[in-house]
Amino acid sequence: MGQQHRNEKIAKIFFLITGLIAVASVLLITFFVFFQGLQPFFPFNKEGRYSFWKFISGLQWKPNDEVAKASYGILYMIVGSLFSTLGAVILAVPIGILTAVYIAELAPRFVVKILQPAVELLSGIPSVLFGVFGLGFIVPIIMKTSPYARGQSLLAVILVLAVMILPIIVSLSVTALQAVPHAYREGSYALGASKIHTIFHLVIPAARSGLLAGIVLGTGRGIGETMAVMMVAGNSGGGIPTSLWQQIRPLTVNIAMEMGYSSGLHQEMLFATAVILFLFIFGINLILTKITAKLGDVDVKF
Amino acid sequence: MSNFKIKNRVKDGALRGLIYLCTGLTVGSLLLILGYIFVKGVPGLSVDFFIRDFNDKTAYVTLQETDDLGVQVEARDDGFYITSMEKGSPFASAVNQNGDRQKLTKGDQIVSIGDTKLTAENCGDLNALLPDTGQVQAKVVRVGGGIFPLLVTTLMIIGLSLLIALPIGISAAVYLNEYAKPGKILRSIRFCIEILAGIPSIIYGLFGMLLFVRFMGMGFSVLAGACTVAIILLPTIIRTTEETLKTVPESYREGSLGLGATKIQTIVKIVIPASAPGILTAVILCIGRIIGESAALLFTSGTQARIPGNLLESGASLTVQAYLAAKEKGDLSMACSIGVVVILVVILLNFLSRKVGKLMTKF
Amino acid sequence: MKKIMACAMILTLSLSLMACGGNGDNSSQANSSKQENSSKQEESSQETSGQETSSTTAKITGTATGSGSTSVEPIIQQLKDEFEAKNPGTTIEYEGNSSGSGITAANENVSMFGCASRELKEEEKAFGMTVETFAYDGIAAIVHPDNTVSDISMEDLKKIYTGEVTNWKELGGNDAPIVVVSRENGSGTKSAFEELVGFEDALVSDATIAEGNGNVQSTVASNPNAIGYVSFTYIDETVKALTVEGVEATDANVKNSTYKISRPFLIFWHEENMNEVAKAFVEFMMSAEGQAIVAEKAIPVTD
Repeated sequence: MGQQHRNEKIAKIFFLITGLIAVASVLLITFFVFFQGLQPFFPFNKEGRYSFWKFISGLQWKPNDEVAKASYGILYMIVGSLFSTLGAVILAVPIGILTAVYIAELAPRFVVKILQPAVELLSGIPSVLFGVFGLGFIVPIIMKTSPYARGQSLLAVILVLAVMILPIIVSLSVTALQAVPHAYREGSYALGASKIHTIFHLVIPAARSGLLAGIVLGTGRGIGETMAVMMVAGNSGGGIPTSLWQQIRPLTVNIAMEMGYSSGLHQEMLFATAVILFLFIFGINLILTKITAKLGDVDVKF
Repeated sequence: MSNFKIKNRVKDGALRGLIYLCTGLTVGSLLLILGYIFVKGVPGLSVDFFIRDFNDKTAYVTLQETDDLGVQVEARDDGFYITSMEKGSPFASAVNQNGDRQKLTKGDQIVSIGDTKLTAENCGDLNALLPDTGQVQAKVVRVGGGIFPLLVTTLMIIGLSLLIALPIGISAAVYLNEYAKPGKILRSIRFCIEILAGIPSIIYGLFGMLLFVRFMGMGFSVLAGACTVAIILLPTIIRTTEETLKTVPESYREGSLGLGATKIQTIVKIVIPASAPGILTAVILCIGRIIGESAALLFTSGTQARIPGNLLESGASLTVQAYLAAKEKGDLSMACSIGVVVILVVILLNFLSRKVGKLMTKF
Repeated sequence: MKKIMACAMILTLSLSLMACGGNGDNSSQANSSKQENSSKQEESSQETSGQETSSTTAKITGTATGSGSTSVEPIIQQLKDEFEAKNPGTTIEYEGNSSGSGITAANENVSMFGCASRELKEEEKAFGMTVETFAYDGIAAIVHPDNTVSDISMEDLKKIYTGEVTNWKELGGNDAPIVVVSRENGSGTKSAFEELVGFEDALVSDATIAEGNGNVQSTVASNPNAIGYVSFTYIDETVKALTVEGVEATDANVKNSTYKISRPFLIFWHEENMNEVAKAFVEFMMSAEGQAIVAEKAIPVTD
């Protein structure tokens, strides 16, 4: 019996440890990225010190081995990342939610059977392919109308990102809408309201925290997207975008594009970029957990 | 009918139209992307595309003494291709410099025979190029342009990362569902799983590069790539498994415990087997995720399009190579051809996960 | 509570470290034993029937690793292909990233040799590596084939890349904005081009940054108003190479130094990091046969 008891205990500890691996991973990732990324801002850094203020408020990215000649400003990248994500969300949210309304409320069964796998497929397409599509299809079209005569632009990024976050918003919204109890709808019909009226005045408001979760998740995906964006952003070396036609360099692209080429302080500054990106993601996650906590049962998965 | 009602009806109609429009836009964007990739990618597909090496491979082979080579070549832009080959041709029993057999086939290139390079003039009659006696050496090229090594690398990464992530993920889910009591530990684990799911792959790539590639000294390797991907998979495996564990009826556990089984026996012999379909779904979801992964693999498993000889060699996966093709060579067609393969696999996986999902609902 | 967490973390970390460290050791042992084997291996009597005998008389097997410039990569690929065909059982691994990281990698023994597509800087020369020039390469300023401008002066190139000139009509072309395409930071082509044209660190900030030579080429090929620069290797019918101050972008003109924008391709290594295969590869590269292959993609150092 004692033997058995010990086995049970060992098993429990084993399961606990595996559960804690998730915690350990997060701590390790945070530690490694922050450790590398915060080094340049301390005076004792052997690769040379760089002012955090200049980093966070700078409008130019010009790496150089000599600190005095280098300029590592990422404010314009932060702005670029935010603009592109915001634009994509503005575009994708209404389209996504209304598509979800069709799937959850209006579509006949056989249409749902086609639409849902289609949305699932859209979310399963690797981001590289979105980039290839953007480069081969969207960029040439924008080039024809842009005053700068080039297609790589904020607009191209917004369009590509919008398509990429669309399936996330659709599937989460469908789940949220389906979770609204049937009794709500029947009550509304009994009062003489039309189906459409019921959807817009009752079902959507009732599902709003689920819808919000989808939006936040979409934002997270948008700000973290790398490969697709890299091919269509233009990746300029400085300047805050003032119109849709201008090029941007999102935070993620800065890391992915130069990591293979960098060393010394330059590489540390790329990790510093990752720190900023990480903070954004962390913030978005906090908001998300607040929303999901409110949601209770509604299953948020992605 | 009152004015008010008509107004409402118009409004309803407009909103309904808007809903249809948005659905159309969603479906339209999917069709546009699929259409673009298939139109550009399908022409590049062939059997050769799947079985060939990615890069051309040159070799010097020794041919048996003969006066008839028994091959016909055709001059194309990039070389002289074997178009037909007789059974007894010495090319069929060629030996490379290591002394190993290297059989040539249709579609291989011949660059030179003996000391003579093939030209548009002399390629009509190759036998004229043979020396009077003795063996002769020929320079041949096995043409690349295929994705075979990429498929192998991708499969290696899938296998290895699942091997690492599945046991950890499943037992973590068991802990969360069977052991954990509400409290700080449970909350922090759940919070971290949320965070893991939200971290973009580029950050995983950086982390993998620092920890596995450099700190642990794995170098750019399949192993480092698989370890990095394994962490990315954890949230998916844990969540999906936990979902199924929840669906296993409490009566199963009670029955088993009532028969005198211990908790650990119950978990291993009853609960986990009963949730097998859910675990299978997790595996399918994971495979889809790995196939689509590029940013995290770029900095961990490297960019070499070849079959890794062991786990510590580098190798590019399908999507990484699709990216490189688009980036380094500006070759969108190659990227799209790989894209078609990936999308077909994704469709198959989605279909499978639906089937398995149906199995699950039988509880 | 905290203690448990800490213990668990340490445990998992050390476990995984052990596992991985073990693997690493195994592999290095395996590698070294492989090499021993190969040197012990009897030389198989191989007939070389009239073919040019390669510089290696003893049979060598094993792997040599290199990394560095992507501009060099196409040439290395060709050399590697021929070298591996001549010496079955050898593998040359070349990771194309950038001149800068090639130098670091070779210096820190991450790879045995490195390649760069620019001159070494003073501080890089101080690493004390053996450096050989194995080829010269021109950098061509390329535009879309439909562009009416066909000649450009160094001065105008500088003006375009620093943002002083922004419209093609200022250079005698159509009234259209100039789309400036440049390379990512760390690229050897970029630093060589900036140095030769004379605008280091003054690149106009809204230039489109394309990653890799091929990407510049395809960006320019798809945009009638774009200008970019690529290694000669990447010139094809989809883009037009401008003449620079009247001199055509050809190998011959680089050789007689009339074409201004050219640079050396370098290979460098620390002697102690090189294995048999790497040495043989470098030897092959500099041999007449190797240079003949170089000549297909760039300008060989020997005639």
